[in-house]
Amino acid sequence: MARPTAEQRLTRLLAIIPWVVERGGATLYEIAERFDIEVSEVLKELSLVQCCEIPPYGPEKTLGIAVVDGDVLVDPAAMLDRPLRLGPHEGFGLLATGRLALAVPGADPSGALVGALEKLEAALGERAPVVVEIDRPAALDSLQAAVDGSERVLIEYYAAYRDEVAERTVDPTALVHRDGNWYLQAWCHQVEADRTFRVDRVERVERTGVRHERPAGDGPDRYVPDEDGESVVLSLPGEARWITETYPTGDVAEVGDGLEVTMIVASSVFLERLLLRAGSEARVIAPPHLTGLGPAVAGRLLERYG
Amino acid sequence: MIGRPDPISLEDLADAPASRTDISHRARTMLHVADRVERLTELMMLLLDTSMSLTFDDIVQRADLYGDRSESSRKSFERDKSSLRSMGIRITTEVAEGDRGATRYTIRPQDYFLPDLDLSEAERMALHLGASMVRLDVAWDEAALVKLGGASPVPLAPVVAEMASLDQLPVLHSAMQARSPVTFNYSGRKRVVQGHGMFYREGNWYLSGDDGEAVKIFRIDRIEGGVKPGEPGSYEPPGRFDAVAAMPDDPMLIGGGDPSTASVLIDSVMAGRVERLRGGGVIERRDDGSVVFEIEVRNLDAFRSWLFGLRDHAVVLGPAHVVEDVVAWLTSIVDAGEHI
Repeated sequence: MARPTAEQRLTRLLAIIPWVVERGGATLYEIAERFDIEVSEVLKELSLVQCCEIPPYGPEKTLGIAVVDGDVLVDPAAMLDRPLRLGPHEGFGLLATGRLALAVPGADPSGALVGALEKLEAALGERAPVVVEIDRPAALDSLQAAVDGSERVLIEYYAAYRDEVAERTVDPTALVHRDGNWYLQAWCHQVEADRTFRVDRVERVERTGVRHERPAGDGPDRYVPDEDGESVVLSLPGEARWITETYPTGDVAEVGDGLEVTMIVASSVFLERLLLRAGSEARVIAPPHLTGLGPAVAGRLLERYG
Repeated sequence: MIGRPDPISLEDLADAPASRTDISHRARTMLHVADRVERLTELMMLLLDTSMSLTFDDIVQRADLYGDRSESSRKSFERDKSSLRSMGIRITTEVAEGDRGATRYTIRPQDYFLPDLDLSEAERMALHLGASMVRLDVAWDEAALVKLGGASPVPLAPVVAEMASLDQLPVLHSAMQARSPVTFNYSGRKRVVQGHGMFYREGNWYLSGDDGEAVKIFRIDRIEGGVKPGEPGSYEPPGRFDAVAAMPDDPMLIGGGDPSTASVLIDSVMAGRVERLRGGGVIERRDDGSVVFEIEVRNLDAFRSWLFGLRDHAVVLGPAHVVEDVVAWLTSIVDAGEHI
């Protein structure tokens, strides 16, 4: 691990000192545990700054901190008894995470978090609104209850890549909101493996009353294209750059005003949607059996308009 | 459980290691401030403690931080100021008459210390809990929670949400607070924007603001490069910020196009799902289970994108100009295939 810079070390010290002052003292071990650093490192840093003082050099002109036999002692009148104000990153981070936490199922809209965020905004001189919106799909509360209660459920799920609705019996283990969608992690009895389901595609949830013993999940992993899918090379116009920002892609090359993009696709259904949306300047370059897919699906849909 | 010592004053610390108070001032001037952290700490204490702001000469005279007034000492001082500022410590400067143009420096207590937030223990715990539920990719919130004190760092709840973090976010937020216009490149053009509000929707962060032409929405991850704040106090945003008014949450309503009401027939396979996601809009239910929806459209691109997501399950019935647009789009794809 790289050695921390002087700025990083001082930032850490300026967090440690008020923390110790607030507690009225601490052991080196407690500080090491709280700030996730080695005890020897804590001792070295505090020994260094306990000697810091400024003119006219007296006890009241020190940081009021001393290390004695593994205990860190503090003067209640220490110069830096209160923490450094929140930096822009920290203030924004607290507001954003707090607002998102308020939007998840089970959050109390009139609870302590609301009061805390109001006080935080007032203290920050908050004049810059930060709004966090999260969708709440219809099945979310039922699935949250199933996760909380370790209850097996029957779900009706729309599998977009196959364009079909199927019933699954699943043991839900975690719900996570990521990249704008809610995902359910669950053991699927049909495939006998862990699977991830997008909650807005769960059409129906039926309780079974059966408890499962599977451990709580860490949340679904980020979507990784199925290695069993097919590698497809697309030629796209510049206006279809959104595809590279929305879906996992492999190589992306700038070719003239457009792009040449390699991606793994799990089904031709997904590819049909993509080509329809990208328009007439998008086409499949490879593999050969898919080069006519865009015109074919467009022709099929045109028949509906007689 | 390790015991916690009682608070004591320094006078009680008979066994504490000797501080430099015990060393004569003459001897102090001979001391080499070996560690830069020590020098930064003392500079910070000095600027924070003084009732009068200090020039570089004052600092050299008062404390043994820089030795002399040489060019190399001056460079060390400049580097130290820069380090403190990079940590978010605001150093106020002034050039007063009678100092032959010398700059005076101070750290005002109100700029340094976190104001008392008056958080109850429940509120402090709620902030910890909220931060432990949401992963922001970076440790911004953890550093802030340490400053707020109180609760332990142990996660109190499993992570239930992840939020994209971008370098531009805190800069834009600070600039809005200070009413500083921000300059950045977007879609290949330089923009100077007076920010009105920021919002997070469907996994993306957006900035709403006036770029001199109109109030526009900028997706923050599409800002090209950094963001430069301008002069503070340069503008006042109009009224209370409303994210939904700034950008409707239905993409088909975003844009300045003439409003149309499209009729779309959805087959029985997808009718229930569309009804649930759109929250209504049904104008006809047919015996075969298919359903006709009425959909307000201001943005034909977004409408086509939604429609093609349904592939064979949907067909547009009217009005004529919307049907013509869809047919023309599909025809152009078919025609392009004939030239492959």
